[in-house]
Amino acid sequence: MKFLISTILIAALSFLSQQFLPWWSLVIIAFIIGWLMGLKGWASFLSGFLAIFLLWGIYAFVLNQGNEGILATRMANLLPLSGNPILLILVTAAIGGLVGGLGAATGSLGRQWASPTSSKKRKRRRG
Amino acid sequence: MRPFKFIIMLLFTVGVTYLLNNGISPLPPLGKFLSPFTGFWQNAEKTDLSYPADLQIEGLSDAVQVLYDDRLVPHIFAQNTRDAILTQGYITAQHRLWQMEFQTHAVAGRLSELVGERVLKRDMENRRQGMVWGAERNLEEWKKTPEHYTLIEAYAEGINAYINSLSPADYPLEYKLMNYAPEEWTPLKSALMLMEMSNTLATAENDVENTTTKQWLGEEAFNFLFPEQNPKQSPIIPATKKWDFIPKALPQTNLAEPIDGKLSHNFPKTPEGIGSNNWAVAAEKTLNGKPILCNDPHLPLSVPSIWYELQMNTPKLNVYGVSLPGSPGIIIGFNENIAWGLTNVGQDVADWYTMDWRDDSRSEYKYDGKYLKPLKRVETYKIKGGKTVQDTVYYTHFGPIAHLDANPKKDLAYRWVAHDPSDAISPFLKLNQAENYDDYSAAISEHSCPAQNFAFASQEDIALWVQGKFPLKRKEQGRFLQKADGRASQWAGFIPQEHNPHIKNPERGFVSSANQHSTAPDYPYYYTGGFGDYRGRRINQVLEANNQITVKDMMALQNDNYSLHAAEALPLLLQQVDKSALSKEELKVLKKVESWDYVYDKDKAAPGIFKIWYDNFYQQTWDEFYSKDREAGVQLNYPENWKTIELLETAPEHIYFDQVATSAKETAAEVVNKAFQMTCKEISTWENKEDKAIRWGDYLNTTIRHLARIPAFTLDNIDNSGDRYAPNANSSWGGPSWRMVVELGEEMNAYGVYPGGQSGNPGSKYFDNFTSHWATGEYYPLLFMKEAEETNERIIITQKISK
Repeated sequence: MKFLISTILIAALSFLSQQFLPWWSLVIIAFIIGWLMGLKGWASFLSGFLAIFLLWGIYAFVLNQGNEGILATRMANLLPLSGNPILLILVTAAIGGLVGGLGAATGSLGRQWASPTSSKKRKRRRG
Repeated sequence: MRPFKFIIMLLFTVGVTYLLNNGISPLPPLGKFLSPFTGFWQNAEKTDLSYPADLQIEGLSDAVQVLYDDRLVPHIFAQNTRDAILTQGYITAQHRLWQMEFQTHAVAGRLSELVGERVLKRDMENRRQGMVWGAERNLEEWKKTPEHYTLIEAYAEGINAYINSLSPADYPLEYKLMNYAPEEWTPLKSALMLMEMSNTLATAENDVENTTTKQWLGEEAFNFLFPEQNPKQSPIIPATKKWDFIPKALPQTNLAEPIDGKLSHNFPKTPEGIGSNNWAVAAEKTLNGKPILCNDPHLPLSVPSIWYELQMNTPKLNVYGVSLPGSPGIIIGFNENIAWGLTNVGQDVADWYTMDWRDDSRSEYKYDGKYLKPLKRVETYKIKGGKTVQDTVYYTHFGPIAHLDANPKKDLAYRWVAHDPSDAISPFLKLNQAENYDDYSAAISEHSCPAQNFAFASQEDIALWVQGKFPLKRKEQGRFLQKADGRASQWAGFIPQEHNPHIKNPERGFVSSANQHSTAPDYPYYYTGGFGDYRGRRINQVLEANNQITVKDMMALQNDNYSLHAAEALPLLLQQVDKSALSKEELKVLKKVESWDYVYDKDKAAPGIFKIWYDNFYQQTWDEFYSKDREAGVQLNYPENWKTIELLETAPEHIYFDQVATSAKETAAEVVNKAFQMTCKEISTWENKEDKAIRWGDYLNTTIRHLARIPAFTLDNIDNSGDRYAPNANSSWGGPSWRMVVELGEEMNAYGVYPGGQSGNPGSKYFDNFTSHWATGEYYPLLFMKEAEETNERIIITQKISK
């Protein structure tokens, strides 16, 4: 549940922030949500990754549909991804996902460092 | 442990984000670039295109309406000319902003700011050639005609209004790829655009090459191989024209040539094959009894396309045609009364002078026995990556030192008409509103550079003026390098405008030009330059033969692939072939070319065989030139094709057919046969490599490159017919950049097509949608409206623009 909320929050808030802020604002959003939600390191990364992977992937997919693949085909020749628009959408989503995940993971580590008690508790539970 | 892990992770995240935002050369900043919110995905234009129905543009004085037709041609309806031009600036920027700015950056020698050090040499060449200096001088001249300068400012205002409306997410794709932002547009940039046109079109000279070639061959051989007039030519102004004026007298000039033309490094040659066709047919020669005007300017092709099509309508103006992005008004087109078209004039208006410096410090040069100081202008290059380079350019009475040699005694000054202040925009703005012959001839009389053949038609008249500013020259002046030693070696003035070659309503019922000589040799002024005869002769033959001309005939002539060059060369080549020496395979190739009808059709094998054969024959004939040219610092001129063919016809035993590398004495027969065997080898290599039989369309392989040479945006695999010596003058890199046919009647009946499309965005379906139509020789009917017909079925988008 926490994972789902974290993912939705990161996706929704960075969707809003990117309307008027630079693309990297999503890293800050992911960081803050990662901090607040306090998921474990890897879970936090996954949540951030998934949020932006889906956000960027779906948006790129929608733009590509409206464009009937004209630009994506050209760009996928340039980058080079053998002219395959779907591959380009996946690469776009993965790059976005990577920074989203890094932001969220950093946030979660930050929280663990700032409030050692909670992390100790977790350690104990694990032990 | 925890703070350590956190800090490492934080640094890593910030580092990755930073790299993805700033990029590592040559990769674009991937995060910024791939983000669907701000990056390239934003340029994936909806195929179901729409623009805001209501728009506000600062600076307009009244409301404007823009209707876009189904080919994305804007039709601008404004209340006055200034508003129309301002909107033209805005709409052109909307479709072509990156192209306009990139082209002007290139002319201004600023590409290294965007691309880096590897283009610095090219940047320096442009500035040494005085491109910016010339543009500044022109701009000062424009300011002297306030009623036209206000229009140039309005055009800039329109462009800037568009630039200011953009957020980084809206920037054209190429800005994102190269990671920079558009800057403010200024009237100087329009002046730079026109300098670039002059650089493409008004630089037909071979001064260094002719000097070296003459010194090497000797005067007699040079004059034999390089006659200035082709006896078979069909000049633009027919030989029957009488020159009923007293030519301006030439003062004494000193044509002293330097000792030799060897330079420390070669400078770039103007590419061959730039040319164009235009003609106008009188009413009595057409089936419908209406005059027809046609034009197809040939240029090195690129995307975004060279031309931008539009209509502009005000209560005082209604004009349709193509414009140059970056320059206000319409360059080639028609209005409700007249139509006009342009081809380039080959006259040499650029001369090189060797400098006589006092010493190697270049601080003083000799002029009429005195020493003068050159003006120095320090040029600064801010290279991408932070480095700054400075270079001094020297300006003299003979122009800028455009060629700075390792040996200052070989420095060359560049005297070029394009540097002289002139008003290059008013003539077109006036022409756009011209109603008859008198308006047309008055409008173009001020046009100076690049000189053009202005074909004209109205319902009543047809005419053609060879219009530009032409230096007065003594025989052979400007054909070779000259010593810059004083007033006597400078140009003595210019040919009076009214003496420029022109013709109105000639008896033959048509006017035409295709870059051949302007006149027969009896024209009382000397000129030299770069001219081509084959297309002009062919066009004149076809027009003469037909007295019931239709629009369809004219389209067919623009797309005519018949080459007189092939028709004259091939029978002579075939005559020399020794069939007994050929293998079975070689005989097969010969058979294919023997039956050829000299039509460069894409589906045939013969044009490719002939082309390769002729080129080999040419290179083997002039083998002495090719081996001499390989010597350091030597740049030669080569005999023209017609002269080569004439030699083959009249003197097959001539010494030039002897091969320098062999001890035997060859004649034309040996050269032709050797060339044919080389051709058969080349064809089989090509066929093996391409894995298909030779076919002209594949061999020609017309490719339209992206302006910044981005391969993924290049238009290739274009299946094209034609040849540079046929009216449909296609090559692998250039060709008809706009084809237009206008039948002049009560209603204008006009057709046009160009390669590429209206949008400069590689993510738009309008980027290259005209290309296949263009390659197959089809035309679009042009939508010319007298008033804003919002409900016209061809209108797809309507925009209301308020002030």
